[in-house]
Amino acid sequence: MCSYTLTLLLVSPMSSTSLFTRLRSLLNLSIEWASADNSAIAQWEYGVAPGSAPASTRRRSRRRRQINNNTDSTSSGGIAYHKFYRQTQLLFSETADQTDFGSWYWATDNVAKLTHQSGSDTDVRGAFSSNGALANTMDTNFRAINNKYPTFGFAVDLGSVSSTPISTLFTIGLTQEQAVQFDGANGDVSVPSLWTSYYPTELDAVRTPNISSLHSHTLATSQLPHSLWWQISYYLNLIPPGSKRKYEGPSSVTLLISTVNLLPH
Amino acid sequence: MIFPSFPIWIYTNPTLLKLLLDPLFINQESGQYPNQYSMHDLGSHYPNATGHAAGNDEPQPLEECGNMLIMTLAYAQRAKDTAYLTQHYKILNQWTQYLIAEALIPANQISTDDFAGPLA
Repeated sequence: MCSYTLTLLLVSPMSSTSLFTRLRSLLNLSIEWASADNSAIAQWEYGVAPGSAPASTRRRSRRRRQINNNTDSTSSGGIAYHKFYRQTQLLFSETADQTDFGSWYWATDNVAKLTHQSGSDTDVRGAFSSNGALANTMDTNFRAINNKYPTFGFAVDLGSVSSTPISTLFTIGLTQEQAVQFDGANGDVSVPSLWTSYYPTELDAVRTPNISSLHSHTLATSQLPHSLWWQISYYLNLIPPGSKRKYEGPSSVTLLISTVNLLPH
Repeated sequence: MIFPSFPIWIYTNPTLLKLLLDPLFINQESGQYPNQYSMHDLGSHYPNATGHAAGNDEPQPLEECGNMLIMTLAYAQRAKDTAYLTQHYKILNQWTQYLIAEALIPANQISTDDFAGPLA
């Protein structure tokens, strides 16, 4: 039932001080998501795919509302994604309660002011610290997780940020063709993940949820008496417009994280 | 784990509760669980819901029998699905008979609050 494991991460900075500034943000995921076994060899790739795949015919389409957010966001830009996974997949296995099979996707809208990079944690974060952007390069040295901790970054140049939030949507997803083993009526069977009933490929499952899905689910969850939303502080690299100037940018950054049922209707 | 959480399923969407109960019925109605009382879980460790053919899951006999009856009825009432009760009547009755025989003077056992230890 819950085997469509996808989380939308909405980053919506705004300035509470009403100062116009240039905000560039870095979000990165570590290869450590791929396995709790730090000696496991990992592999990864980067790509761009068209946004919004058509779902399979079982459900009728939901009418999508157009929401304007990041002004450079266009559906024709598609979805940029990092994909990473254990080279040796261990089906139905876990290390320290963390899965050892399936593929992880870390994705966002492929807007004009997006840069990306994969590499060691120090290289990726160092590039952003030095340049305010990533190098649009991919590390091809597939290696053990704990060998300079491969890291997958997206950096977005949001430009001026005022008291109106500018939203960027990210997706974190785990796709597993087979979800569980189940001792059913006639013994053990493997049970496929729910997304396989709606999408032909895992990339289709990842690239379809978008900001209008988030907003429609936001409306649904906001109608609950106790909100299922929670605000957390998140690690964001923020750099000042000039390297020698004291940082006077946005003083409040709020991230809303929601895990929602993202099946099409 | 399902029982403490079931109010949220009943409140938001009773079908979600049914989806959680179905595998428990499928496994136990197949005869692959040997005990007269309801099982505690479908597998010791996710993602392997491979059952307990030896019946040696964490024993919460009275808790689980009671939980299954309460949740199944709650679902059927909310979803207006009495056919679900008919479909599973045989095993629901089995668990009811267990409660009749055992609940008045409980044996020493744990409840869903297993951290509290066994009580009689």
